[in-house]
Amino acid sequence: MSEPLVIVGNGMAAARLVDELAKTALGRYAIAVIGEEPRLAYNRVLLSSVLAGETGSHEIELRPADWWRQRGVTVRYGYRVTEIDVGRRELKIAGEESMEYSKLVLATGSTPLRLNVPGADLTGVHTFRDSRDVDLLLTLAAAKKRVVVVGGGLLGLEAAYGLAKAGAPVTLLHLMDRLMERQLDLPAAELLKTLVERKGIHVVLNASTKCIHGDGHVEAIELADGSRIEADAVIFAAGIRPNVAIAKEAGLAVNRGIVVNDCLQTSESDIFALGECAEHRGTAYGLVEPAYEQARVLARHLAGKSAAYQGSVVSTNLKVSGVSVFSAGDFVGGEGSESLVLSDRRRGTYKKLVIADGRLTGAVLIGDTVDALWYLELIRNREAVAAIRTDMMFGRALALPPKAA
Amino acid sequence: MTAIDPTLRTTRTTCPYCGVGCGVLATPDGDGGAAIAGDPEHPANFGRLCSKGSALGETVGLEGRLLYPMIRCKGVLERVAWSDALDHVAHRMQHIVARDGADAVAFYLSGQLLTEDYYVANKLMKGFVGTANVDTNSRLCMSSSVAGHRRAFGADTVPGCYEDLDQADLLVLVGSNAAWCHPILFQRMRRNKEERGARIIVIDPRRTDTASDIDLFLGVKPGTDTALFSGLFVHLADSGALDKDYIANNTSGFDDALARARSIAGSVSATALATGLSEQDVAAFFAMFRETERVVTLYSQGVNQSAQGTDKVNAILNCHLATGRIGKPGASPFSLTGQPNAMGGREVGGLANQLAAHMMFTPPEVDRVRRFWKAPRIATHEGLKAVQLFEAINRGEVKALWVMGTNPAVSLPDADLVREALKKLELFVVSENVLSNDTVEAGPHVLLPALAWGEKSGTVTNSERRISRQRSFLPAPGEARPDWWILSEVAKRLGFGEGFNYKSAAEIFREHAALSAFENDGSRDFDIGALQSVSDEAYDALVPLQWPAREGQEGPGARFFAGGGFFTNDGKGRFVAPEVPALRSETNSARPLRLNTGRIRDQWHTMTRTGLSQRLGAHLPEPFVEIHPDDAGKYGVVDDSFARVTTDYGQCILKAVVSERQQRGTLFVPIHWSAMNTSHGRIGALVQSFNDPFSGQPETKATPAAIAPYEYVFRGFALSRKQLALPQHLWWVRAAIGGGYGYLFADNADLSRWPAWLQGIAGEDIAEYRDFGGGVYRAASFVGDRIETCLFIGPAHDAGDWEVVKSLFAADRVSDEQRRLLLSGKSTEGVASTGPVVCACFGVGRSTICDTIAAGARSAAEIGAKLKAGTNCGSCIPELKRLIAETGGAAKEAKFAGAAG
Repeated sequence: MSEPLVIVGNGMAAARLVDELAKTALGRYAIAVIGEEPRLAYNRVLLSSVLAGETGSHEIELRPADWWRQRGVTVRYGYRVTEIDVGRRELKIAGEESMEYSKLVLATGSTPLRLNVPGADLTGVHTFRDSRDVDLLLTLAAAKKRVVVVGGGLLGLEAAYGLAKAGAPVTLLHLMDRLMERQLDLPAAELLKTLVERKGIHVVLNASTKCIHGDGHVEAIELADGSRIEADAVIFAAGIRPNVAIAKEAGLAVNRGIVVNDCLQTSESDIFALGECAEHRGTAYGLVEPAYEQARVLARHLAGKSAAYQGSVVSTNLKVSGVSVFSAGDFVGGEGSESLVLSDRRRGTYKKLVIADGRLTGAVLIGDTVDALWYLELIRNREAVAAIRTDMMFGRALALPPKAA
Repeated sequence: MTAIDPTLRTTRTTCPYCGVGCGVLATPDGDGGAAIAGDPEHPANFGRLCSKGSALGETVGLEGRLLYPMIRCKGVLERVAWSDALDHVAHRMQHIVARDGADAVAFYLSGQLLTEDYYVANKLMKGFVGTANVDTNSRLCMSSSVAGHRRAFGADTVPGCYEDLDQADLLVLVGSNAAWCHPILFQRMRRNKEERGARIIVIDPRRTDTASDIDLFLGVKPGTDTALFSGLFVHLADSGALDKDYIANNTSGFDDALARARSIAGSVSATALATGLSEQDVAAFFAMFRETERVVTLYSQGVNQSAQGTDKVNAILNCHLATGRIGKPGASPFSLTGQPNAMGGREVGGLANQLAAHMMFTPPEVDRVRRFWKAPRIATHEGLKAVQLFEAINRGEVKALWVMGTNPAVSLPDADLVREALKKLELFVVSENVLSNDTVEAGPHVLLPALAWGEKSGTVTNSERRISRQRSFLPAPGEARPDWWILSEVAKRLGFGEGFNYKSAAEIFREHAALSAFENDGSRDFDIGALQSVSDEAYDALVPLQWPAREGQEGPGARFFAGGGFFTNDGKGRFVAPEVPALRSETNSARPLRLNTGRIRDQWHTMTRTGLSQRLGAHLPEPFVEIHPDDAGKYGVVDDSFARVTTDYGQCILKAVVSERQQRGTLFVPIHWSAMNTSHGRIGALVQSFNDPFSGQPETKATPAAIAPYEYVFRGFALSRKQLALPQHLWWVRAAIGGGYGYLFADNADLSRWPAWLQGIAGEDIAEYRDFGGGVYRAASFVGDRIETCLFIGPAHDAGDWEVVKSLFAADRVSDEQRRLLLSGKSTEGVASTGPVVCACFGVGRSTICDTIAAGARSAAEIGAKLKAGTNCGSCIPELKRLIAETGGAAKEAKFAGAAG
């Protein structure tokens, strides 16, 4: 008889965990996935692509229904877990019977933050998180509504790009003096701003939202400096909050996220957490890559094999508003480090490599990310780079040409 | 029917570089340039051309040309009308002559002038202004040969001809790097060696390219040629190799000369000791010379550019006179002339110690020329030779100077002093082709635009006394005029209209020919009386011909003196007893080395013409100093680094070339670079001005010098469409490259000055690479898809490869991929481009994906299976699908098109 394993959350982390479990622990568990969203797990990264009209909504499904069925997974989407009864190893589900588990995995993800400003509750104030949000934003764009996106991080840029592509006049507000300040240094952020502006998005930096005006419905947004931007809709994309409510209520250790150890185990030995809801060694990651690494480790652990998650070297490696962006490690560089910088605005490229103690310790790439993974490998392996320093900026193919036979 | 543009027909002309005088076929391309080929019918080259001649088409553009007369007003040169410029020159000359006498004015001419230009200049000064202060850059080139010839032959006669080089069994090259400086003649010699087995001996302190693959190389100590040929003379006498009949019938001075030779180098061992050669080599040379009847001794600047150059020439001539090997097929001494028309200048008499047409300043000669010219104020004594002339200018004695077609601020010894001296002139006139060179920068009051090669028309004479036509095949640009016209116009304004009412070069040539025959009757070697009535048409059609061409005599003579007939009073050739060989200056502990100077293969003089060719700039782009490895070790100089060469006259910073070919104790530097194209490579500034007592030729190959390493932290290069003003305090050199200008430089200043400098000259579109910690800054600016400027700076060992970058720069557009890797400065050959990244998670590029699709992948999953692309975050899957649709579709279309076709 297989052990019942329940995964709460039906996102990318859950899907990957099932995939890994199918490979490493086939038949050991009877797996059930319970998710709030009313559809099969989909690739959240592609939501902006859907918004931009580059991809159909149905195309972003991670796995077809058959796939789940073939692996004997019970998928229950559209259900909300309201409580974990740790003592009875039982989950309470809104409007449903409780469900028992032997092992429980929390993959509840995160929720966009809504700014706590007057008017934040007006009609026309949205977030950008799931496919329902996308449907709504598409309606706005189709009606050429003026949209203000609050938040110049990854999510905000994606939303702005998608909306602009879909036809909406978009203004992007960002509190900081540069876009994606956690992933990019100043020149990179400036180049990204230029490239984003080339897509027709109006970017306002140092923009602190004071309040949202409107009589029942959004009419304008007012900034701390007193300036006012007329708007038909406001999208909050200024950060996320791990979904920890049920874990907290169940008495699991929770900081910002659900605290897990190197086996992704929470303070309860049979309860695990991964993805954006989890906090490992003080870090709650907001990217898909660490979630996937965690899924791999957790699957091995659940299969009874030894495995430990050491944390991820955070790298950002994706397309932001259609622009390839990569950053990893200490990309700012400071005292005791040296920076190598290649910039070509017309090509839309900016590359910065940070070297400290003869090793590559960080990198930012905009536009040309061909060698991103090579740099990441160099950062992770802490290899000495003196021999390739003169050429490494121009890529692995040039710096390490294949040896002649 | 295709219309043929009559201006595009091929013109036969003559190369403007060395004294070989090769025939050139020039075909204008209708766009200001010309296609260049060797003239198969010209007896100097039979269709062959050297690297310099072949590149002539790249040097006829109008960029940088002086096209209008200019007069300096309040320090600034301003364009004026010809009449104003000519009035000004004439008026100022008249004033100075009236006030200070005729000897206060001087002309400094050039071996690049045509004979007709030379003739008018010489006639104006010596016959009408009344001074022999007419000298020429030939003074620096072959005046010792002239003086040596005159002492031995009674005239400046080259006894042999080029055919001798084909017919000789032994060719002895003395102080000549003919492989680089007279390449076409050297090829003839090599062919003789290959086909007839002629042997070649090279005598030179440097083991040059001429000395590779030859029979004997004699690396003599500098300045010891006279000892070697004295030793040979003694050996010939002692071994019974003399032609006693020839000596008895046709010469004088034999005994004194032999006695002197014996005292200088009386034996093989004494010769070896004096020259620094091994006895074995000396003996081998003596034996080869003794045993070979058909021997030609060729000599060039290594002999001439010496304070004992004339004696060296005579030491050589003594050996040929003593064996009667002169003017016979395959047996003769032979002076290799450096310039295209140095010989023409000599024929005209355009040197300060000649009057005209191989006549000197004896009273009968002065009287004869005066009568011929109807000269009102003929010069009756020698004028100032080049070095003395500029010294006199510096002392303020000569107050007016007219320089034509040469660049004395670079080429004269002690060139810094020359540059200063020029500033003291009251009237400084320059007739030029170019708008800027060191002499033009030295502050002339009047600039007169002269026609350049390809535009001007007249005659030149080569090293074998062969007169050839230089013909025009390009229109006169701007307001440029022939030099003879400019001179004649000034002459008219000076009141000498009658003597200078020339309408054409042909008319001048006829007068020149008539003077050569005037009261000659065989008494003077130079006689082209057969041409004194040549029609304009016949002059235009003139085929290359050797002098003498005496009127009424059949056929020109190819050789002189085989049967005597010298041009001395008694008709006998003279043996000359040379002085004991010694260099004029001593080395010492502060100046322990000898600085030798010379040419390189692909440049000519001060590069005002060859410097325009990218092909020629590629061979040796930097001014360098060659040094023997032992000396390099001793003075801490490292190959390919920089070295400072210091003499009592000046200093230069040059690239060091450490080479076994260089003799210990000597340095070699090429002469070509000037302040126009390099920061620290004006070699003239290093060179001493001691000169030969007979010829006045300076000893430019033996200046005592010191060398020390010079460190530059950074090296780099810049390529630009336009000439650049580089930052201050930089070592730099400019070379012509495909599509613009290339600068190599070295620097000690902080890298941080470069980005701002580039921004100052470039537009908005700049790509940059900075690794200041690694000492690297590279940047390029673009206009459209074309590189406008690029700049590469790095530590000495890693400044980037300009060859790679040059080829990209030469292109009219660079692809995005080329631009991506441009600043690597590396050849990207073999670096396969994967294209822009599609799958960021696994770093898979578009090209790789398209290749996979082309190979049959038809779904994102198939691509994922092969390349992993799209199997992680999956965000590239839409793009993968698009690529399948596009690439797959294209493949289908291609198939369809193939079927349809």
